[in-house]
Parts: sequence; structure tokens; C-alpha cells
Amino acid sequence: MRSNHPLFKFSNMKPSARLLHTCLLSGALALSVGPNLVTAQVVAETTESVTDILPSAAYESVIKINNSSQVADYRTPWNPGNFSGGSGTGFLVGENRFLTNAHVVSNSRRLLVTKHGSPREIEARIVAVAHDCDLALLEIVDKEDYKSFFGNVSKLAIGTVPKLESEVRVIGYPVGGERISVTRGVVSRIDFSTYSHSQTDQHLVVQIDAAINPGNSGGPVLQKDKVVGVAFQGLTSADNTGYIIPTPVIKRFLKDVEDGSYDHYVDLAIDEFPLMNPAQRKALGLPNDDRGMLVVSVMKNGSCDGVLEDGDVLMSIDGFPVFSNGKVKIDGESVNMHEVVERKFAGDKVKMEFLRNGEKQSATATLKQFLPADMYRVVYGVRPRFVTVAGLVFQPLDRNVMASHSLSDMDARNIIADYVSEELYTEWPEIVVLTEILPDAINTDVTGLEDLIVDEVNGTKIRSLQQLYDALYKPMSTGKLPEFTVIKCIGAPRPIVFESDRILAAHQRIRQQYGVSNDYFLDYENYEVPVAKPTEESSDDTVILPDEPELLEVGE
Amino acid sequence: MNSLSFPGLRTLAILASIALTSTSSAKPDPSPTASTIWVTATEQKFNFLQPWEKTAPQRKRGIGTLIEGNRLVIGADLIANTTFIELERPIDGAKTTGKVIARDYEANLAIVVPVENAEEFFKNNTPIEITDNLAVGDNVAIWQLEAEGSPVITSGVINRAEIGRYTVPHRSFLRFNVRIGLENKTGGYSLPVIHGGKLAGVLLTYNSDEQVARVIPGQILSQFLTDLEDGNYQGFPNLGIATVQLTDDQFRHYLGLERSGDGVFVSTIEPGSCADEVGIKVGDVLTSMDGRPIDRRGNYTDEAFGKLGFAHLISSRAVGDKVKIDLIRDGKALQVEATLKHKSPSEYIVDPFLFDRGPNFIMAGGLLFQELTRDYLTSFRDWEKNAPFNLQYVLANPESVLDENDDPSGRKVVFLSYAIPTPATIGYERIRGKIIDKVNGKRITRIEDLASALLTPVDGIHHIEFLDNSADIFIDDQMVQTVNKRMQQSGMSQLQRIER
Repeated sequence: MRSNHPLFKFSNMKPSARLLHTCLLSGALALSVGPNLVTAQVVAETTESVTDILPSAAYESVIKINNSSQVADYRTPWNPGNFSGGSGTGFLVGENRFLTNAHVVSNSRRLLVTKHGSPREIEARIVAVAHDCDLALLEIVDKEDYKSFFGNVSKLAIGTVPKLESEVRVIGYPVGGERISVTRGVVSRIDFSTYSHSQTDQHLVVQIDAAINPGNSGGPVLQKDKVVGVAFQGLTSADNTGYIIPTPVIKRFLKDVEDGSYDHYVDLAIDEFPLMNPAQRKALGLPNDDRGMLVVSVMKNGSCDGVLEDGDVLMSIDGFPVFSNGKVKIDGESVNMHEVVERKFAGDKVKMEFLRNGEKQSATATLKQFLPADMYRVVYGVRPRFVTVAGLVFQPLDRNVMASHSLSDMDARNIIADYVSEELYTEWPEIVVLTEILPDAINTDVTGLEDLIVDEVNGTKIRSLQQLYDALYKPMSTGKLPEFTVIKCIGAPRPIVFESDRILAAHQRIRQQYGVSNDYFLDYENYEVPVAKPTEESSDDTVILPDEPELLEVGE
Repeated sequence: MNSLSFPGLRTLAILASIALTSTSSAKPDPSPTASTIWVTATEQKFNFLQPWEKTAPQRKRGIGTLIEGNRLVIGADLIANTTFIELERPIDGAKTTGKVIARDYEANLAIVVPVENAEEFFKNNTPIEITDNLAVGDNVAIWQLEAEGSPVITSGVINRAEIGRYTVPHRSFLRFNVRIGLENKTGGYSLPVIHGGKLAGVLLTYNSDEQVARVIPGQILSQFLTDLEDGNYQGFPNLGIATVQLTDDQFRHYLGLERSGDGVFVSTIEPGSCADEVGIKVGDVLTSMDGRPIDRRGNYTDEAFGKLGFAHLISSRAVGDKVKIDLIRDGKALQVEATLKHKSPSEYIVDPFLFDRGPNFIMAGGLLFQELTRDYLTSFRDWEKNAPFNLQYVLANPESVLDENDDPSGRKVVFLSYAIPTPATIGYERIRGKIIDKVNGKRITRIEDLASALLTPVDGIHHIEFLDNSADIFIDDQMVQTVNKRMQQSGMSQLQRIER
């Protein structure tokens, strides 16, 4: 698998590094900004020049973004969420197109941008957002506003990956003052690393030793007059480490959204194993020449389904020879073979050569996003889906639900761990979890059954939230209630049983007592995302932030 | 409870002077000085993550209580993994080497005797009788000793009897809570609990914040000693079921039970257990045992202790006893008669604990194969978070590894713990905690299977298949022999352990 899904082994839920979002949100978190203040210097009026044009020329293209957001609470999914806010940075890259981080504009209800030196706050909206690579594109809502403020401002050009040890400037609006700030640093490392915004996706990152602080997020990192990256995250456990999103990722994003929608990264969706052991190579009849990677399993419905088979030995991808350690050589650098796919788009083709039963063969796969892996991703900007009945709250499992509920039950953890690797997703579109019980006379003896996965209701298997809704609510609407409503959870010592007429009696009471404004929310269709151009795609991935204890976000 | 310190030199001098004065020929009445002996055990644990090693030795001290037959009763936790036992008379500091002649880690009880000349060693001591005539509200005393051997007697009250765990996780027994304020003295393990001049129990743990001592009752002690009498120790029987309360009216209604009635819901049956053999099924409602009604919370009314978990009705009986069990199945009452038996810890697919011997393992050229035990998993720091999750799942659901026609008796789980980087294990460095299905085409159900399968490589190569769908691995037999030899030369004391 390309993506590093920390939850495949659920016990390793903690992200590998303590990444910190440098922008964002919520006054409650503002205290944790403290240590960063030292490095947030406002040097806006510097006269030193390392650029061909006046350094201050770029400031005109840099905006401060204020995000008023509303963050859904997955413990009370019927509530619209907690209001909070935060600020970050963005910059002009095209005609009424500003680039910033996805996390700067996540869960947004209102976006206001300010130009350097101007007191005026201008309303903006999201054009496209990519949570898997933490980038977003904004536009000014009023075209006249755009013209009058940015008509004569130069668009910053996107450059290339900066060389190790070369100097870069970070421009933005970090904590510590109101006006624009510039810091300098050198490029200290170029590597693949996890993007903390989704907590799952790994892409190229460039590490620099300039301070990147809350508020810097989304700001340009310049070398001469070219953008070499977007400042996006730091590390809580180390000093002088800032991470920037490098140009290959930026360019890929800008190209992807050219058609007005974002299509996500694509994935080979295979599980592979290195073929470095001489005994293993001999047993598989391979020469000792360091070539080839074993395809252990090909995920159903993935890009390679029907193209590769379990047990194939992958010899080359897109013409790049695959070595026995799973690496390919691109531009003289030895990189993971999945990097070949990293640069491609949905619908692109990739040719693969492989050995099947010792015979050399080749085939072409059409790349696409691997949807089942979405369960392990943090989602933003969507209203939590749920169904309640008799005080029981059911939610479809995703990373946000995992983060807000402790799913410590063995069977639940096992199913989550196996969901992708054992291809459970093929017949199980959604795992539905009993996440909460709102105590009431009707459920007072239903104890110790929270955080279990629902298996069936009245004998019907439950494999999606819609199926659960149908099983519980359809009989009510037809008036043909069974005498008992029986809910079976996986790993539960006993079924949950309600006398159906008592469910009806308890209904209003529980709604009132607990302020449950809706009995259920099933899909996004009926829900209007108040920000953003309402494209079909963006309704899927705009807005929202879960309670994420592991993710340290720093607001201002 | 872990209070261990040793008398200093000054104390020894005092002990010597006491010894001169205590030479009367008539045996004194039972007392801390007359009836207890310090037991100092050196424990050396096994390293479950590097199973060829033992950890650094540790000394533990407790009090053994002398009973008839020149035997000392102690808590089994004091002598687990012991390498050396020393007995010391508190009255004069005389020492002799001790040995364990009986132990039950489930009931946490053991018998220790001097290796030689027991009669001579105990000639001035008085054995104490055991009482099981105890009830909640009884006054008891706990005996301790000062470093110089003088008695410290503290009294308290049995304020609760309950069913709970002792020191191992898979069994529960009758347990007393005694409200008492104990001082921290040398030798804190297995302090005697006395009622009416008789031994009423052995201290299990003491919580100094709450001032509550947990005590193994005289009932369990008597049962242990009775079982030992015929030289064929059977252990405390268990039924092999798990139940949930039936307090939920709606659930009772669904099951066709009276709303206000008795009984608990059977949620799990252990394969091969008593309950399984007698035909109890998941979904049955357990209503009484031997005519004693079991209430909706799973308690019966005990004459001495009031409400008590029904497990005591089984564990207080002997292996081979017959117990009549009343059930309701599909709304109909039925009765079964179970012949009680004891499932010994070694019969579990995943050993619930392992004492006195190390974990079974085979090192093959850097691949470390082990047999799964609970202690392996708990050896990880913050184990529920860090131990391999697939193995934790097997601990919780051992039947999940069984094939349809597998015999669960004698079945163990063999897994590849990790691969030490060697010339034989190139490319396998990242493998962790994978359960083995087959080696060289032979099914692996226990470590012995692996040992024999490794004798027959195919074309000089061993083929290892895992239970999940991860890639098969192969290692070169010649290379394995070379690497093994090198490992031995560099000080790995043993390359395998296969013990039952």
C-alpha cells in the first residue's frame, strides 16, 4: 500500500512524529503558542536583499487569512459544532487564485483575507481543497474587490525543489504581532513524511531550520522570487524544524484542480514484500540480481485489481526497474517505487512488467483513488452522520469517530485492523458502531455495550448506516413494529433488546432531555456547506475538525 | 505487597542473646515467634522477549506458618521462579535451606519444608491448626515480626467476602477483605491471619491507603491441604462458562422469563470445559446449582457470607464431584449434572501464566520462534498498546486459531517473534509477531511440531507460511546452522527450549 495507514495495526494509533499544525484555531489552544513566540520575529521592513527584485515586492502577494470555523463534536453528532477560529497565510498564484493550506480553511464558516498594509477584510471562499496533501485554493468573492486590491499585484511563480543547504525565506503572519513576518533558514532535509492534517498520507516534504510558527501556515517559502514551498507544519519535539510542502506536491495539486475539482491522490492498492533474501529468491526461482518485488496481495477494487495477481514479482513500473528492496531510481535518487504513482493523476495509466509463474508478462493499470482506506483518514468539513434510537447513538466508523471514542474492544479493533488488509470492505461499505448510550429508563440495563460494532438488527445484517436506519426506522413509519427490537453487536455477551412500543414512548423524552435536535443524519445530500463553491466534490471534503487528542494544533 | 528489608548486624546480636534464653522443653502455645518462620526466596524471572535469558535475581521475604507435618504454608507468589529458598527461625536466627513440595499458583498457595532435618529445625516451634469456620464480622489478627524476631500482632475485622482474583488473571476464588492498619515490617509476603488461635488465612495483598488487607481464606487453605492428602493433587475445579446479569426487564421478557425472577445469561462456553461436556449452551439461563437459587446478578446466598458469586459453588467443591445445574433453554426448564474437573493452566491454548520454567522457543539462524504465553504479551511496556495486536487478539479469542477439526487439547500458538539481523534473515528485519501456519509443508500446532519440521528442509531451504495472508519466507538451512553456531559462540546460552 502506498499510504501509511497507521491504523492497519490499530495498536499503533499514535502518529510516528508529533507534528504540529502551525496555523489554526480555537482560543482554548492559544496557550500552547507560548514557546513559539520567541522565534516569531517581525522583520517586515528589512532592507537586506537576497532577491533579484525588492524583497518587499512579494509581500503584496501575501495575504492573512482569518477563518471562522465550526468544529463538529463527534460525541454529540446532532449538534452543529463548536465555533472557533484561527488565522493563517496565503499567497496569490493566479488570477483570483490564492494558495494556502487545507488546514487553514478547514471547517470554515466564513473566510476573510487581509492584504499587507491594508486595514480592509475581504470575503473569500474555497475553490478547491485537498485534505490529503493539505493544500487549498481560495478566491475573493467579489470580483471588484479582487481587482481593486490585487489587480496590480504580481502572482508568485512556483519554482523547483530547493537544494540542500540553500537559503530560503518564509513569509507569513505568525503569532507575535499583527504585521507581516519574514524568517530565514536553510534546507536541512528532503524526505517523505506524514502530513499531519490527514494523519495518514505521506508525501515529499522539505525540512528547513527557519522558525515556522502558528499563523505561518499556508505562507510562501521563497528562494529569490520563486516559491519553493508552502509552510505547513512543525515538530513539537525538536527545535528549528519547520516543514514545507515542496513544489512537486504543489504543482500536482494545481494541475489536478485545473478542471475545477480535486480528484485525490491515486494508489496502486497492493501489498508487497521485498525479495532480498537469497534463500527466498532461490525458492521462487529468481536469479540473485537484486531485481523484483513480491506482490503479496492485490486489493479488490484497487487500481491493480485484475491487472496484477497475488504472487506476481513486479520487475518494472512505468519503465523504471524495481529493485528487490522496493525502490526505483528516479533522477539518480533511490526512492520508493510508489513515488512513480505519486506524480500521477486519476485516470492516468501505468505500465508494469512482472513475472507470473516464472513467465515475463506486462500489463497496464488505470490509476484511481483507493476509497476503503478513507476510513483511516481524518475528515473535515462534513457533518457527522449518525442514527439514534432509544438513547443509543450509532455512527459509521471513521478516524474522527475513532479519535472521539475509545474503541478498545478486541473484536472491534480486530475488524478495524482487518478492514482493508482482509478486504472486508468489499461486503461491508461502512462499519457502524454503537458509540454512546444516553441514559434513560428504557436503556438503564444496557451497560458495557458501548463502542461495539453492530452486526445485525432484527436478523438483518447491518453493513452501512443506511441499512441500520432502514432496519430501525422503516418499521416505525409503516406502523408494523415487531414486538421486540433486537440489536446484536459483534463480541457482545448478549443482544440488546427493547420492547418496541417502549421505544416510541421514550422517543420524545430522550430528544428533549438530551437536546437531540435530529434523530439521524444519513448523508450529505441534504446538507448545505455554507462556505465554498458548492461543487459536488467539495461537499465531500470541506470543513470540520474532530476532537483529536494526538494532533497538537496551535491556534492564535 | 512487597516489603523487603533485612536485619542489620545490630539485630543479629540481639537475636543471639534471645536464643540463650529460649531452651524450655515444653512447646509453647502458637504465637508469631513459636509458629512462624521467615522464608526468603530468590526469584529469577525469565526474559520472555529474549527467552534464552533470565533476568537479574531478586530476593523476596515472607512469613511461612508452621502447620502439622513440619510444613510451612506460604503464598505461592513468594516462591514463583525460585532458585534458592532460605528458612530462618525468627527466635534465634538459625537458618536452613528450604524446598517447595506443593504449589498451586491459581489458589496462590504453596508448602515449603526444610530440605533436611525438619524435625530438628522445628523442634522448639509449635504448629498451628487451620480454621475455616469464619464469617463476615469476625475479628482476626495478622501476625508480623520485627527484624529481631519479636512479634507484632495487629487486629482487624473481616468486613467482606467476595469472589475475586488472586495473583493470576484467569481464575477467581473466595477472598476476604480485612479492615486493618498494618505497619511495614520486614518480610511482607504471606502473613498469617489468625482467628481464635488458629490460622484463618494468608495475606494476599495489603492496600495501605485504604487499610484493607485481601486475604486467602482458611476455606481455600483447608481445601488445598485436603486435596494434597492422597498425594494426587487435582486443583480447584471450574465450570468454564461466562455469564451476564439478567437485570434487564425487556431482555427477560424477550427470553420468556418472569420479569422479577432469578438466573443469569450464559454468554460464553469454553470448548472442552465441564460446561461444554455437559451440554450447557450459550443463551441458556442458569437458575440454580445443587438446589441453590442463583439470582439475576449471579449470586447465591451463602450461610456464612451472604450474597456470593456462584463460582464459589464450583470452586469450593472437589474435582470429580457431581453438581446439579438447573437451566432454562428456550423457555423450558432442564437440569444437567456436571462432573467437575479442573483445566490446568498448561491446557490453555495461550498459557495464562508460566512460572518455574522459561517460555518455549526455537532460534533458527536469527528467526526467533516462540510459543505464545500471556507473559510474553505483558512483557511489553504498556503492553495493551505496544504488544502485537494480532497476538493480543489470540489471547482474548484463543479458539480463533483453531481449524474445524483441530483438537484444542495440546494446541498452542507458535509465532515468529522477530528476526535478528543475520546473513540468514536478510529482508525479514521488519517482521514482528506473526503466527506460523506451516513450516516445510507441515502444520505447526505447538513448538514440538516446529522442531521436527525444521529437520526436513526442502532442497536445503526452509519454507515458512504464516496464518494471515502475508508473504511466505524462506531461509537457507546451511546458513541457519552457521549462524546458530556463531550465536552460541558469542554467548547465547541456549538456542531452544522445549519443555512441558
